[in-house]
Amino acid sequence: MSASVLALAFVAYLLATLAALLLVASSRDSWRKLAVAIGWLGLAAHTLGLGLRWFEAGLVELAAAERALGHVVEGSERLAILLSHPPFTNMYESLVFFAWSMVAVTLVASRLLKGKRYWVLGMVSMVFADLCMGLASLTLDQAIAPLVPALQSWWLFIHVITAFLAYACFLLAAVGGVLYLVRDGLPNGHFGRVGAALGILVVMALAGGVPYVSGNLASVALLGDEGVCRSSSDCRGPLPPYDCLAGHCVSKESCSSEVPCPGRHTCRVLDDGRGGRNESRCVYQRMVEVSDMQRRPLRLILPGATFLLAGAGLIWLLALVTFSLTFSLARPQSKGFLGLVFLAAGALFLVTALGLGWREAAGADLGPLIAGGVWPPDVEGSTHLSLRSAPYRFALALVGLLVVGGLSLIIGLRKKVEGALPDVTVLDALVLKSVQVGFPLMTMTIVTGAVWAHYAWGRYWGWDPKETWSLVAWIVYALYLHVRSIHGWRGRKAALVAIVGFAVVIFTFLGVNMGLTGTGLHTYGGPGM
Amino acid sequence: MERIWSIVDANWRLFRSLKLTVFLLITLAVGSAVGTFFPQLPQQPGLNLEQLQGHYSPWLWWLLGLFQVFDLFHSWWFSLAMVALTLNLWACSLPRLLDLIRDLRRPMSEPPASAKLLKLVDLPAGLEPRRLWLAKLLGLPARWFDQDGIGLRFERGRWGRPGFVMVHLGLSMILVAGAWSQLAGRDGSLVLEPGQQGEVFLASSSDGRMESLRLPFAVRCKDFYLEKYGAQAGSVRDYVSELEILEQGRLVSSRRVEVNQPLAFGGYHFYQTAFQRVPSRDVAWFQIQDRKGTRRIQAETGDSLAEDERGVQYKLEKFSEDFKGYGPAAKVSEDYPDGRKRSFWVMERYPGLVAAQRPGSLSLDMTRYKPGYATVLSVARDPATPWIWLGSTLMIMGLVLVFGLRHKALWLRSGPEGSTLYVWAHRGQGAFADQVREKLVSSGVEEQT
Repeated sequence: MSASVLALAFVAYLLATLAALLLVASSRDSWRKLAVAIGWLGLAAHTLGLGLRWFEAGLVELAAAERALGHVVEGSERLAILLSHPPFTNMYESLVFFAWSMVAVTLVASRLLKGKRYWVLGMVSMVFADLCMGLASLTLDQAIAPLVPALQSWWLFIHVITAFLAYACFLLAAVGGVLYLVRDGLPNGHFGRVGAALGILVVMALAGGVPYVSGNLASVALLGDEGVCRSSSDCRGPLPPYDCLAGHCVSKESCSSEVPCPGRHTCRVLDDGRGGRNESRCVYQRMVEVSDMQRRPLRLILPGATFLLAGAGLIWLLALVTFSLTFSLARPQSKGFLGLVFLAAGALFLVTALGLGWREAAGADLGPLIAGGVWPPDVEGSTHLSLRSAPYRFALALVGLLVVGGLSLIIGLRKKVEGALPDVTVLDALVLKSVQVGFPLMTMTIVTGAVWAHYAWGRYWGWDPKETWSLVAWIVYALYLHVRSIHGWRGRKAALVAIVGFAVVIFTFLGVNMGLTGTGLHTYGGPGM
Repeated sequence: MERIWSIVDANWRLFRSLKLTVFLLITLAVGSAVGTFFPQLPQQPGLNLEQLQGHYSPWLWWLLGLFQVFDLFHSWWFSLAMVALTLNLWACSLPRLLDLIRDLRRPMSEPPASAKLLKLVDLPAGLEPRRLWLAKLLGLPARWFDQDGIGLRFERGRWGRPGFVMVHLGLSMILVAGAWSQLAGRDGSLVLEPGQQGEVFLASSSDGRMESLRLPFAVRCKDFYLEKYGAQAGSVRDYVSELEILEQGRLVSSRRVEVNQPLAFGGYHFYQTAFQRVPSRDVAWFQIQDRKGTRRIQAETGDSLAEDERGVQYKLEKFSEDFKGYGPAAKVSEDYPDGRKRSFWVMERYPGLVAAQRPGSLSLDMTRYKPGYATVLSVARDPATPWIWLGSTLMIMGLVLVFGLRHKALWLRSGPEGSTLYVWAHRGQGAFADQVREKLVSSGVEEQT
């Protein structure tokens, strides 16, 4: 139910952004009013969706508690349990909540700032929100499960809410910073080069580097016909649970001539060697070994899809190169048409590749790959979509390229966009005020995180990657405040610091969870912060 | 003497400089970021450095060693940066503290030289009407303006001024407490089976080794249990230890400890961190009817359960938490007098099977199965923790004051040349002046430039 309402919100934001683009193209004020109205409707739907999710999770917790305790729970305890599972306890929910906080903060800020031109902040944040919700929809584990013990704490609420509010303020600051640079007259060439470099960095880093583009896309490998294992955790077949007996994956399912084994299993008689009863059990023939990346890359398993994916990657690189050349060398009124063509072509390749890949996978009898393979969970036994896996990386690569595309559009339609923006001094003040609100919130986030860690894990600070990166973000914004007030680094340089700060925040939020920094206490499937 | 003084002075100026702050913050930020990409020894005590060495070329390994990259957050340069930052914070805030005390003692009487001047026209006559008029114009309560003998005066937010010092001193308190934590703090873990008590826990010392530390009292685990969601094999809802503190054998304190709810005693904190399965401590209850009669007994692995009229001994061989999907079960061995051995499984969820197969001679059912667990408690002792909280509170309160309560003032002075409004703010004067000017202009009170 909540999912449908959230889908409504997603669509609303999309429509609002479209209306905004129409406004920029046509300069008719009625589009602006429409855009703002749809935006607020979207936010209302989003809030409702989150509220429904919270309630649904409360019902799950209540059912679980009643089953565990063996009796019905009434009164204030019932209420407490219903409220105990807020809508930000896994990656899916966190992304949706993050999107909500971005739109809420920017829409409210644009309302408070009283002026026709602040609506653009709301629009930009809606684009980000849609990206986040799109990412959220790619997570496999969207179901509501009762909270693990470490998350059963009221600190969860305080810590996560302050964190997302802080992030939203920093987004506002970053958006203000980008708009400042657009308005201020940072040359198109600079934008083009910076945007292209950023895009390439994002694509390469998140998608895993050049090997991905060249086709060595394996996160798993297919080994021979006889599945071998060293321990039962190596066995990932469609008939769990498995024992690893004598190096083979043996299911606990028994079989006989009347009750045969399902696909990719053979029924074998297991001799327990002591003359006792023999039993027939299903032995898994093929097995996926997750750790080995070199043996048999995806290009041999999904040839068509891989080819197209590589093609998409290369075409997008061409798009990036074209954009940067266009805006570095050409006249200001160039709109980067050719670059846009390459971008669209690459997108087409990607969509075709994904479709073909799905069909190839289905046809190639690759059940084990799909069930536990191609999208392998990083944490053993979890059903989370691994953030290291192929589709997530492609989605993030798409994000990187959309950012570049978006920047290019801004550049192309620059004159019109500038006309719709507030003054430079106003934007600079906006960035400052956002950081002034966000910085105390970020401080509180870190402190409440430390308090919670003290109660749950026994130490208030452990240089865990998540903790460390949130500190790095905090330092960047502290630097912003210092260099701004005293050195007189106002305007353009301050805007850049605010933008860098937000990039750090994104890394804190997503990068750490992607496992780019190894595993730590935050990656056990907790709030995707 | 002169030379010594100039050295001291140079150092003083260095530590007062903002450039140093910027340099140190950048160093700490970049350093911390780098540290997250390398495995760190304190978090992974079992890290095999020799194996790692093979991945790097010799000069790179030397470089990594020089900067102690595998224990970056306790490395010499990181610690040095923290110390320097603390000195920097003190050097910047303590002098301001003295100025602050002086400034806060009395309200500002005269506009300072840095105030912004705005010329006003069309003022009403008389101070009192002017007071009301100005207050209304600026949208502020009239009682906030008073007459200071020469004209009108407005001053708000004076008590927000300590904010700056509070933020910086609070942060320095955190840094100092953090260093103290690192030197004096100890944390480790204690594994106890129900009924067991311990006085010694394993802690990691500051150089990454493990050492045993003795508690001044004993901790006894009276009981430990898991609460699961749904069936036996469901996910864990909570794990709970009932702990007792004993001093010289005397019970001093007892407390239920669960995740997020630790026990504090004697400067030590005990946290429910995890648990371990101890199969040798599995226990179950059996309802038995055999030639010895009817009874209910509790048994562990290896215990004798029953004997039937043929003299066959039934012993508990082992347990299974989930036997072929049928739930908890116990493997019972049949030892025949002639030396033959057979075995069968008794399942908790399916009672009565044994009685059905051996009518009249033996009835054996497992009524309850309790897996053996040991509780894994984190033990921590950190005298610096309250100072961390104090520093954090100070810092947050300070931030709220700095950004929320700004010290600003207005003076209205009239003379033969006309009336002048002096606008002053301790920070953000430009923005405040712009706000005031905007209100003046929009109200039609012209400002002569």
